[in-house]
Amino acid sequence: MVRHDLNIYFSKLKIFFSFLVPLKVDDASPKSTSKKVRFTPNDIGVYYLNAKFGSEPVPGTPIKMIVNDVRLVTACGDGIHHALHEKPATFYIDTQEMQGDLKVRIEGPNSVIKNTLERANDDRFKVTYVPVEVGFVNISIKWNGKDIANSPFKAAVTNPERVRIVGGWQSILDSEDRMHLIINEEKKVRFDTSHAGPGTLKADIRGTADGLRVPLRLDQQGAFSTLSFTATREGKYDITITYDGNPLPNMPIRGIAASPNVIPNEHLKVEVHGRGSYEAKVNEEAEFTIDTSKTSAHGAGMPVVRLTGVQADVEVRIRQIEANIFLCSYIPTAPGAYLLSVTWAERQINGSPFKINVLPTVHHDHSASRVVCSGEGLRTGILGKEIKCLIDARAAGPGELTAYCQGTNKTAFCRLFDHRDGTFTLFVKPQEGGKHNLIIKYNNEDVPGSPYTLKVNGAPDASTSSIYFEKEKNSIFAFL
Amino acid sequence: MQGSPFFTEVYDPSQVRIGPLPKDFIVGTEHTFEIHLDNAGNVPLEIKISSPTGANGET
Repeated sequence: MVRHDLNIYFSKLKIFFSFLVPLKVDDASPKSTSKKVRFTPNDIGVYYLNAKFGSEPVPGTPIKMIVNDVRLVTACGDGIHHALHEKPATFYIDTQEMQGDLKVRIEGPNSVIKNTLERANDDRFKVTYVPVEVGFVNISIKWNGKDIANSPFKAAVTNPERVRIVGGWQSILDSEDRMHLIINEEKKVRFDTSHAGPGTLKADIRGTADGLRVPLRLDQQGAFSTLSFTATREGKYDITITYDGNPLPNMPIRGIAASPNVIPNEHLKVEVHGRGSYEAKVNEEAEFTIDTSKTSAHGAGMPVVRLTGVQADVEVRIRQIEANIFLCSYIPTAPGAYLLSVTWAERQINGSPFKINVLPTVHHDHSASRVVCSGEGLRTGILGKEIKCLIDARAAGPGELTAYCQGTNKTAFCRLFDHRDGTFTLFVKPQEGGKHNLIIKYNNEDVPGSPYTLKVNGAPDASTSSIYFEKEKNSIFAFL
Repeated sequence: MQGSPFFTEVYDPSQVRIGPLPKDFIVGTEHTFEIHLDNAGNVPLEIKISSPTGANGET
């Protein structure tokens, strides 16, 4: 509808426009509550827009509009705000048919990004760039040496392929890339977006048959987002996850919702054994086994194992070594506390998640070699009497000193006295005669000479004279 | 009573939404803005734009 004069009426909208300026009103259907008004001012200066609704002026009016003749260079297009990592992004610069010097500079957090400028037509340039890293890029557009309005622009570079599932995709998908859901049981999927650039994670879950959306919740905590939803009907679902508006690889995920297992609490019958289920050492392989033999669903599937740490997740290898026994192994690379989650038939087994303490590797500094042991007690002893030797660990630095003395059948009593100056006295009281092995270790390593072979004299039977006994005793002490 | 029932038109000018208006107005260039009357009522809306070369036109 075009009028060159006053008073445009339709059901509710009446527009006056003074001084014969062309005016258009779009979408002027009588029922619509929105109208689009177009106008082209022909003069420079101040215009006022007045609006009255019924007989009342609309709050906020009159609106002052300053019309001038400066033609502005503007930039528009998706690439000025968003870009995908390692994919070409484009935007346009409108130079309003003016002549001048146009400069575009694009910088990432750690890089200057090359851009190509091509003339699309007389007043439009097409700018193309390929961001080499995720993060924000600064786009500076200068016309005749001056930044155009809103320059420098800040574009978010994201990479949806770098959105990770905490625990890995294999922890939520089966071998055919399907996600198993249990009816009326909340499913939680945790995403790590820390390497995907500045964006927002969004999800859409629909029943494949009816197209109905499944209500869902996304909780964002820093770079982690948790998607929670509950399938209420049996059947197939399409799960689409997007990051900054771009779908993650291999979307949509096929979800399959089924009734819970016929026999409940099967997952509570799964057992985990082995040191690797509570302790491990950096760069050393740790192992544990999962025993599903007590479940009634024999051979029904595999346990799902996930080992998550503060810094990184650890890949766990699972091998089925018997019908119901799974051997799991992993090699942690960083010390700290880890959580081991073991699920069976989509449920956490009894005790899961397990806490695993990953210890730093003990540094073998051969400190034990600097420990000096002396005294006759390292060679001979007498039955029933305490013998002693001196241990000097002053040159070895801090560490743990242990002593153990074993006879043919009985273990001798060992007692360490700490002189608190780096030296110790070891008292050994053998419980039987004969050969003894005395093991002295420092930081779990044998000190020089260890294991010592001790000959324990005596075993005087009751009939032996006390004189003989006394003699032996004296001879021992004479050496000390 | 003749004319009964009577209807009263209830309207709310504060619900009239104008804009967003363009940031810059350039002479000789067409500009667009929208007017939304959702929940405002059903009475005529009157829009007047006065140009700098004259006083208000028709009122």
